Amino acid sequence: MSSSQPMREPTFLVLAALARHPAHGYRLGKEIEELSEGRVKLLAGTLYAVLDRLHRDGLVVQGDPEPGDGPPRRTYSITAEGRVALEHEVRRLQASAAIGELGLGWSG
Amino acid sequence: MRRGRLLQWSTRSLPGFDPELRRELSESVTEAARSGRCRDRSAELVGLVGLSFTMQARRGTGDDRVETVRQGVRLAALVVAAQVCALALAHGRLAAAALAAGLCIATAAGARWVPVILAGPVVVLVGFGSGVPLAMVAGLAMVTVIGTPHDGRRCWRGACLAAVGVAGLAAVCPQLPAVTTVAVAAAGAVVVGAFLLLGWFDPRYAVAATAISAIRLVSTAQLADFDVWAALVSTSPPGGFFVRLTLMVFGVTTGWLVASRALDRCVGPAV
Repeated sequence: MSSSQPMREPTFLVLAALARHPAHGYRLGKEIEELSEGRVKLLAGTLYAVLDRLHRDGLVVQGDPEPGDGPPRRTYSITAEGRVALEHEVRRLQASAAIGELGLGWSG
Repeated sequence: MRRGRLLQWSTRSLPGFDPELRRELSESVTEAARSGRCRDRSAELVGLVGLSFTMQARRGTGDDRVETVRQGVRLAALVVAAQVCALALAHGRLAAAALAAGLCIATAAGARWVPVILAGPVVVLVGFGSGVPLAMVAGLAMVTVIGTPHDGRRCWRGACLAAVGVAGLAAVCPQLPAVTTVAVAAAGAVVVGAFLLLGWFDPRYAVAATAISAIRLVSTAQLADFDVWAALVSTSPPGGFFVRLTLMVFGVTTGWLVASRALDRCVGPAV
């Protein structure tokens, strides 16, 4: 993924959720819904397409199956490269937000 | 409930998913299937179909950008070969139509070299004196030579479907030559529209839509007529040719944009 291009929101949220801890797809979808306070509910097709793309780009890795109720599930973890991409995007968003705050007179 | 079952069936049956992903998807869509909201289930279904196309594109091309484009171009060859076959039949050129039909069936069968071998004779036999625009036939030969078959394997089901389609064309087109010309253009527009939708998920379809539109554009006979261009800029309001030309340019441009975006998303950005 090119660091010069802004991340799309689903990609950003998936990386942000995985930066907290590894998770399997279903749990990841639930966490994103909770983190965004219900604002973002990723479709299964979207979520797994994002995970597949991030895996291809080396920003996440597939980990060992997670034991639990039912069959073991494939977990996903963020890589060092993924963390760098997330940090870059957070800084970009902060810079944009600062411009917006300045315009609104919120920055004191 | 019926649509919930459709959602579950889709996770089990859609191609492109490995068993582990299929199980995860099944789990993820269960909630949507249980929920009473038709809109949620429909959105999940569209998302699953899109994911299926994306995964097929990635697996079929090995995330290779050039291979993706070449497979899309070969898909365009299939459609243009059918169009050329229909037009040759409408003009009563049976030998030319048979050659185009052979090219169409061989392409649908996933053959690598047979369509390439047929491309030369197609240009000679169909391109001259068959009533089919030479630029269209030359474009067909070009996309046939450049393209590679989908997933690199034979598809006998595709060949059978193409043979049935060609037989249908042979039954209808010679009886209705005037209708055929209009129908070929209309069907081409419908196919391009459908491919653009699918191309959002599988870039091969967007590439095919772009190639089909481009061939259609360059094979428009009026493009070489200076008087038509003079009328184009002087006539007000714009005539039918202007509208068709605009639609064709729109098709090429949109196809190119969709293909570029889908390629970046599906197989990674160009280096």
